[in-house]
Amino acid sequence: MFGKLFSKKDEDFYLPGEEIKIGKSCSFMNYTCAKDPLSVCKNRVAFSTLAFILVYAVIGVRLFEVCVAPNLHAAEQEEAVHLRAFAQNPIKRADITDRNGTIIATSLPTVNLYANPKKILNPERAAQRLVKVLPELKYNDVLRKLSGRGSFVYLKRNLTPSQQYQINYLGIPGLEFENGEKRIYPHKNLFAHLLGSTNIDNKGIAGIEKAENERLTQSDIPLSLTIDSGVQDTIHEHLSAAVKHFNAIGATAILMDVNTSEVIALVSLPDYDPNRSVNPNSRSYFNMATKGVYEPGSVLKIFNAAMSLESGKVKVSDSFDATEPLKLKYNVIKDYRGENRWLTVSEIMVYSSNIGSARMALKVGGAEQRQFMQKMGFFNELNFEIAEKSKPIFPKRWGEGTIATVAYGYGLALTPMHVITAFSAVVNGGIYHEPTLLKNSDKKNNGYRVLSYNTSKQMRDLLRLVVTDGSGKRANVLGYEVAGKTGTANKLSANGKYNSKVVRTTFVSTFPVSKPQYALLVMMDEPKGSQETWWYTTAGWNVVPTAAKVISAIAPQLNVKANYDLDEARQARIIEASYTR
Amino acid sequence: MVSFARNSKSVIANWWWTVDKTLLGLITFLLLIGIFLNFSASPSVANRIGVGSFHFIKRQLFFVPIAYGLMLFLSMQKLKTIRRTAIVAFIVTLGLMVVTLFWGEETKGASRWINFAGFSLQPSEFVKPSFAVVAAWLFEGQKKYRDFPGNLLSTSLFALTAALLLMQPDLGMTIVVTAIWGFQFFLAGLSLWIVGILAALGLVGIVAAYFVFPHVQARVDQFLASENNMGYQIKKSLEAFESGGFFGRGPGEGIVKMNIPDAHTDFIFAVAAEEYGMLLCLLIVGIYAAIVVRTMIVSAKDSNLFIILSASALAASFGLQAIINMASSLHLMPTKGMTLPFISYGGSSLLATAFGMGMLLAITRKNVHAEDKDETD
Repeated sequence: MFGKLFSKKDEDFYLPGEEIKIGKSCSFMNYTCAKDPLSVCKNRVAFSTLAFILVYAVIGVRLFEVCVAPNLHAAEQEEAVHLRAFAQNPIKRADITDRNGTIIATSLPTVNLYANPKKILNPERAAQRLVKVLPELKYNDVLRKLSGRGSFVYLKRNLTPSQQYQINYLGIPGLEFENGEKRIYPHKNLFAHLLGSTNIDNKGIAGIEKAENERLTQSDIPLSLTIDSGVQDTIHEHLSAAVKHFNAIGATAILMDVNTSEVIALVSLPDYDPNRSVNPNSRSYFNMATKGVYEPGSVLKIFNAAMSLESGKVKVSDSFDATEPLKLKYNVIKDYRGENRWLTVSEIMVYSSNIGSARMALKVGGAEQRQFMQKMGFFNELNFEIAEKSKPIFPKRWGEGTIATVAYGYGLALTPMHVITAFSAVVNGGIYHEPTLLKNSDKKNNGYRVLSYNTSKQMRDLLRLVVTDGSGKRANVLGYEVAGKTGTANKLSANGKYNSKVVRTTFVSTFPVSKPQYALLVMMDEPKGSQETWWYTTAGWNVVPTAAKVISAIAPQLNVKANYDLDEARQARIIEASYTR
Repeated sequence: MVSFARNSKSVIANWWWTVDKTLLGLITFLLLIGIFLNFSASPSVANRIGVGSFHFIKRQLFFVPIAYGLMLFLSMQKLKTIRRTAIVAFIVTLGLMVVTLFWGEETKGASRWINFAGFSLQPSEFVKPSFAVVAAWLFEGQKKYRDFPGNLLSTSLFALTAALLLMQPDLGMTIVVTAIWGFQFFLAGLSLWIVGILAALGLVGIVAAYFVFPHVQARVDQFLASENNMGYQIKKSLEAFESGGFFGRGPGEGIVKMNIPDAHTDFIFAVAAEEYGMLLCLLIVGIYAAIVVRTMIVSAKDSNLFIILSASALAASFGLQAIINMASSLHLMPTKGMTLPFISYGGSSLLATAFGMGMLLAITRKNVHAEDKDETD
């Protein structure tokens, strides 16, 4: 047809009567540049024809560009996606197990429903039918999404197989499914702050899920933790009961292997169910054990004593004047129910003397004190496998007042995890390990010495005395040789002053003291007094008995060998005495 | 196959042996494609505005035979009759355009339509072909008789027509009429200097339109906007092209076409692409190109200035309108409400195009105008 278009079949043939055209040879097939009007006109017709052909050619090229070019690319992409889908494990996030292989976080394969609004023929009808199958969706929302301009919009995630079947049965073109997965925490609240949770896109947003997100998504081998589910559950149960009993606003407990700093259990209350989405500002989302920084109070006297003994400037047999409050340039240090006499180092620990502790620290000096705190990790954020961590708060200027107040636990705010990790080093023979949650961590092989073995031994004896003769009496669980130190810190009120009515109590302990295996820290925020406690709110009345219950429950679980060689009659008498005043 | 004796003296036989059958065949083919594409494009639009699915198809099937008959009838006329018809049509059209200014039906911000015996008619559609023939006649007159002010007359008529079109306002049609008039002036031997000046003036006019008419400004801004902000129509149109690919999705299988506004008129090319693919689109482009080129070749073989000027102007107006429509759909230029001749739905457009192509076929008939040429009007 096109050939015929350009043929000049009637070049030399004239019908009878036809005009013999002179200008015929001037048509643009035989191009000439004559100057007469007709030739000019024909030349210009030829030029215009070429212009038209050019424009039509441009349209042809553009047609190719919009019709075919995008599809060539799309086909390649589709194939790539197709291949990848077959080569991969459908689950992209590894499980998490406790130290015994019990699964504590896993993923289920699900499907996500999305729509391609470009392919939806009748958004109103599609939305009506979809809402019937998925009543939790709102008609207006669905309609808005289906009428949108994009080519991809999620309608609902994590459908059950039955829902998927029903939607397929509707047969609405433009509704499509995408393989997805849903993170499941079978123990609900139990490991809330440890594990954290994932967001809607299956990305870790808290806890181990966030800190180890890369590991969990790169390998599908389960991640083993140092946690023991059974012990965790026991501690969770006792701590929850204690929070209720003492009407506290929060509590935390950490159980650590003193020789490796492996965390066996970690509980922070209130907690939440990571299977549900939680408001990140909610109090229950806050991890007291690793994120909260608190002035530890008298618990810090442990490290003060250890530092003093390690310095060589103080001996266990030394005595310090605690007859009257210690007047410094800016502050006066008093004792809580003071003995008002000269006290030995062990008496300072047993009676928890602020004056005695401050005098010990002043004798050793600020430089050495700071150096020791640095070694104990009190100035740095911990290297730990949970996303929620904090750097301790400490004064920049380290004057006489600071030396004295830090000695008995004020002016320096630490996370409970800092305290128990350093405590483990004090009692385990003097080796500091970074705390860990990962069973295969190298940290336990990379400990370093912070105290001599001898100082550690002396500290164990002092701590045991606190339990047998001091504020920790009620934690003296028969046979498990508990040693520890209490702390009752006044909380800062809103006006920046310490409020002696509102306290945070801590008990940090180890057992069995003759050959320490585990360290337990129990902390309670604002426990209330009751008739039962004679309206006292000090540590000895709340966290200490709680720790006792926990230790008597978990020690058998942990296979700690009980030692009943002590004078049982005497033990029983002490315990009895402490309950009847 | 119709067979006529070559020596028959009947009008039909005479017509059959003289009409350019290539052009006739291409036009007929284009009309058939148009009918098929209306089946694809118009039901979704008809459903959307709530008339029966086949509303537009029925109307188109009613208009196509009328238009085809009109075209064949015109193509049998003598050159002199064509010239007179065009002059009468031009005068009537100008009158109707004045009428639309006062009694016109306003749609989409412009009054271009008048209701006539149950049909709405767009007079400005008829102004293009009739003006093309009238202007050709005037230009030829200037060349033939030195004292005849053909150039001046055609310029005045152009100014009048353009003014009426701008008052509606119908900028697209103004551009087409301007282009045709300029094209004819150019062919009639206008000095290249003046051609350059006129082209510059045209550009200035287009830029001025951008600032004078808000709807023009909106269209142009939309065209220049990034991929994400482009207008809904053009976005859907490009999606349709992509969806169709090389071979198309198949008749009735279009998806994107359901959401294209004006799918049956301004964006029928996109519907063609989605259902029949790039192949049919290339065929359509080829047919338009062939009609333009064929007309140019056939007319340039003649030595009569009127024939060359009128035929090439009619073809150019036809081809230009197709270019504007296709380029709009392909996002090569701002969207301009212009139909795809002989393919888009629309009675006015169809009849006006048939009117123009009927005259074109008559003018390009070979060897029959000898008696007309020597006559003086």
